[in-house]
Amino acid sequence: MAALRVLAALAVLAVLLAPRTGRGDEVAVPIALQAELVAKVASYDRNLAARAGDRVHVLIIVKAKDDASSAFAKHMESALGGVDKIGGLPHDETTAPFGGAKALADACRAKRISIVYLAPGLGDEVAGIRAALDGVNVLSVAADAADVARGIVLGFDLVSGKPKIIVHLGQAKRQEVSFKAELLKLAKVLE
Amino acid sequence: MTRSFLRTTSAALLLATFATATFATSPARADDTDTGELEGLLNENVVSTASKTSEVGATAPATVTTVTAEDLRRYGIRTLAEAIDFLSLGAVTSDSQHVVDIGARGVLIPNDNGDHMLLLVNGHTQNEPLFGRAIFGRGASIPLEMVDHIEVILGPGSVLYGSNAMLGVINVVTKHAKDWSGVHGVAEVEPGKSWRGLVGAGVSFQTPLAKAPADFTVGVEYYSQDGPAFFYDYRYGGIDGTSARPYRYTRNGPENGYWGGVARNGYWTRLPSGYTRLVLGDFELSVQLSSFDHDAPYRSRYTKVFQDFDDPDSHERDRRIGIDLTHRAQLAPIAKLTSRAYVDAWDWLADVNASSKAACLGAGDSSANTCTLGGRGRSRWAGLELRTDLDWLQTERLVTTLGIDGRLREIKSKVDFTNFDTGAPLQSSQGLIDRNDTLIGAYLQQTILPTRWLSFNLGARLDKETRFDGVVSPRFAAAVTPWRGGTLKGSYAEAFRAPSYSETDYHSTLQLPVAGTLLPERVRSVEGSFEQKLGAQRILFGVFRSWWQDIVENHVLSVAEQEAAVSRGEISLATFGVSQFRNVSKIQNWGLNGTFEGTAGQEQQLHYGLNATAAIARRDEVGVPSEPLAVAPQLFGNARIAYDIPGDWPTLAIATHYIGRRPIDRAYDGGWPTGNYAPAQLETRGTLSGPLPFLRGLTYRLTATYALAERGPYVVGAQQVYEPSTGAPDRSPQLLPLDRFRTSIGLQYDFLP
Repeated sequence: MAALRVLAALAVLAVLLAPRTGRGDEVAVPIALQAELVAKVASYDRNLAARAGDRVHVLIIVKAKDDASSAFAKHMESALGGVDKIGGLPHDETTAPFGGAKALADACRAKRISIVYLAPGLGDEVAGIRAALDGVNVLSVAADAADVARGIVLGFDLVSGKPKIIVHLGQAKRQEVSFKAELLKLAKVLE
Repeated sequence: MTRSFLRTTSAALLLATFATATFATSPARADDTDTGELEGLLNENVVSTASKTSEVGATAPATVTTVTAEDLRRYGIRTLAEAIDFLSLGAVTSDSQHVVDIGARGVLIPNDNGDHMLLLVNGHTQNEPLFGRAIFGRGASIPLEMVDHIEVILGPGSVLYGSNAMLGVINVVTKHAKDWSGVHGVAEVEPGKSWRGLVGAGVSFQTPLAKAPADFTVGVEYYSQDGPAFFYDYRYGGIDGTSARPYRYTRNGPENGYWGGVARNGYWTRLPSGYTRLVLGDFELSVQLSSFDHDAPYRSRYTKVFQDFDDPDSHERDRRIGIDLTHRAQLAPIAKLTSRAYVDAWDWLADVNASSKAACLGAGDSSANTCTLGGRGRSRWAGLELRTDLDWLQTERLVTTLGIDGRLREIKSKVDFTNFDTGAPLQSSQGLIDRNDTLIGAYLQQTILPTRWLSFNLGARLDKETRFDGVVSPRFAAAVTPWRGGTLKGSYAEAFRAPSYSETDYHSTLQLPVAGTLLPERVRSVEGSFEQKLGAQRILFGVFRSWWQDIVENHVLSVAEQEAAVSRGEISLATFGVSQFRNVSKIQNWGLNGTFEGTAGQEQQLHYGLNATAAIARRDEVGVPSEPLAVAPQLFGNARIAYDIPGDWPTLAIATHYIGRRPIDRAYDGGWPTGNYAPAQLETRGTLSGPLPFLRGLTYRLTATYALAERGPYVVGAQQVYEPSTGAPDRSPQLLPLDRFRTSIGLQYDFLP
C-alpha cells in the first residue's frame, strides 16, 4: 500500500512538472525506418540528381529548446548517417534550429540543400515554411505526417501497423520535386 | 503423423527460406522503376507491444503477427477469434459456443477463461482477477471497424506485462481520428441467426488546451444472436437417485431420462458495447464499456453438468467498464516518461437452471420443481504505471526502460441457490470470496544495438502480490541482420500466471479449500527464427521449445483422498465429485512454425499469406502416463488470397483455416471406449466487398463460410462420461454440433465531411 502511495505521488508529480509539448502522440513510424524510406523515396525524384549535384545535403530543422525535437533530430541524423546512399548519391546531414521560414529558404538555396527534414514541434511554422519554400528546389519532409496536408511535400504515416507514404503533389510541383508514377501508385497523394 | 508432418514442413520451409535468402543476396537490379525494395519497406510491420516501443517487427524480441484493418475487412473477419484463426501465426481458438478457448503453438487449456493469454486493448489489460478472464470471441466487445491493427505476440511476455502472458500477448490497437474520420454506420446480418449495428465517429479539432488538434474517436455497437437451432442426439442419462425415477432434463418436460432434441431457444447473445478515445495534447483518455449476455443450449463440463436442455433462462453475463488515462512527457532529450492511471470494474452473473431432483437436492431442496444456481462475481481494480525510457545516445541504440506498475484490487463472489418458480433461497450462499489485495510489478529492459546488424534486448520483471512471493520473469533476445532483408532471431523468456481468485479462494461442499499455497504457474521458453524479406514478400521459419510447470487443475479427489478429508473434518462424508485446486501437472511443448506472405501487382492488388504451426505438447503428471493435451490442436494454420480489382470493382477474397485432429475435452477422464478424438476441421470463407455505385461512401461486404467437420471437440449432453451401469448403451460421446454454413450481408456507410 505504501508503495502505491509513493507511485501515485510520483505520477502526479510527473504530470504536473513535466514540460508541456502539447503534441500528443509520439512519432509513429520508427525513425530508422523513416530514414530508409526517405532515402529510397528520394530515388524516385527525377530532379534529385540535378538538384544535388554530386552529393545530397540533408538539413534537419529542429525547434529550439524542444527536447523531443532535438532527440528526433539527433536520432534521424544518426539513422541517415547509416544509410549507404540517398538516391544513389553520397550524402551528409546537418542539424540546425529553426530561425524563421525565410531564413530556412535562404539556407536551402545558399547551401544547395536537397532535402530538408522538419523535426517534431514545428507544426505552427508549417504554413510559413510552405510559403517560403514555394519556388525553392528542395524536397521537404515532415516527421509529423499531419504536416503534409498543410504543405510539406513528403511524410510517413502509420496505417494498420505499416508505414504509408504521403505526398503533397501540388507542393511538390512548387518545389520542383517530380516523383515518378511508380512511387505515386504506392503513396497517398494529396493535391 | 505429427512427427512426419514436422519433418516435411520443416524441410519445405527451410528449402523455401534458403531459396529466398539466396535470391535476396544476389546483386540488386539497378532499375529504379523496380519498386520491390520500396514495397518491402512499406510492408514492414511496425509493432509496439513486444518491447513497449515502436519498432520493426522483424527485429522485435518476439515472433509477431500484425493483422491489419484492411485484412479484417478484406477477409470478412467479424471477431477477434476469427482474426486469430484466419490471419495470425501460431495462435488458434476453439469455440465451445459457451466460451472461446485460445491456445498457441500446440498448448491450449480448455475452459481456462483465456487466462493464459494476456489481452490488451491499446495497452489496457482485459484479464480480470476473479477468473483471469479475457474474452476472445464476440464478447471481446471491440467494434472491429475501429481496429487499426492487432498485434499477436507469441511466447512468454511477462517481462513487461506480468501475469497471464504465458502463451503470449495480444494487443488490439484502435484507429486514430485520421483513419476513422467522419461518421460511420455499419449494419450486418447473418440471415436467421444474428445481426449487429454500429455507429461511430472520428474527428480532429483544435482546442485551446493543446497545440496539436485533439483526436477523438468513438464507436457504439449492438450485437444480437439467436440460434441457429441444433439437433442433439437423444441420450439416456439414467435414474435420478433422489426421485428414483428417470432424470428430467427440461423444466416442464417428462421424467423419462432422455436428454436431447432440437435446441431452438437456448443459444443466444445480447451484446451492447462501446469504445471511445480522446487524445488531447500529452494526454490520452480511453473508455471501454460492454455487457456480454449469452447462453448455450447444452450441458457440458464447462457450462454446468446439470443445466436444463435448451433453457433460454440459463445465461451468463459479463459486464465491464475500463478507463485509462495516459500522459506522455519528454523530460529531457534522453528521457521520456509515460504515466498511466487505470480503473476497471467487472461483474459477472451466471444463472443455471436445473430440473432434476438430484440437482435440487444438491441446491438444498429436492422438492423444488426447478432450482437455480446463481453465481455472482465482481472485481474492481485501479492502478498506476510509470515508465521511463532513457535513450542514452539519442539514437535508440542504447535504451533503458524502467517501469513500475501498482494495482489495488477488490474481488468478490458467491453462489446462491434459489427456487426458480418462487425465487426463494434454498440454502445459504456458498463459495464466498471477499478479498482485497495489492499487486506491484517492477520491470527493467535494456536494448543494445552495437551495430546496425546486431541487437539485444534484455529484461526482467518482478511481480509481487498478496498471495505469493515475488516472481521474476526474465527475457533475453538477440537479432542479427546478416544481409539485406534477412533476420536471425533467438530468445529465452519466462512468464507466469498468478492463480485466479476462483482457484485460490473458492470452496464449497464439493470444493475443498486449497491446501497450503497454490503456486503461480510458470513457463520457460526458447525459440529461434529466421526471416527473409524479398521485396514485398516475407518468409519466416521458427522453432520453439517450452516447459510449463505447476499447472493449476481442479483435481477430483480419489476415494482415499476423500476419506482422508473426512477424517480431517473438511467434508462431512465421502461423495462423488469432490475436488480441489492444486498445482498438478507440467507441459512439455516443442515444434515449428512458418509464414509466407506478400503482395503483388503494380498497385499491390494481390494479397496472399500462409501460416502453419506443427507442435507437440504433452501433459505430465506424477503417476499418470504422459498424454497429448485435450482440445489442443498439434497441427493448425491458415491460408488466404485476395485480389483488389482496380476501380470501383469488388475485392475478392478467400481465407481458410485448418485445425488438425485432436483429443476431445473428456478424452482422458471420460472413459469412452471410442470417439475420443474430434475430426480435423477446415473452414473456408469467401468474401466479396467493395463500394456501391449509387451512393458515395456506401460499401458492402458479403461472406459465405463453410466448415467441413460437423462436430467440435467438446462433449455435450447428459452423458459426460461412459457409464454403462446407468443403462446408457452409447460407447462414444456426443460432440458439440457446429454451424457449418454461414452467410452474412453487411453494409457500411462512411460520411466524410
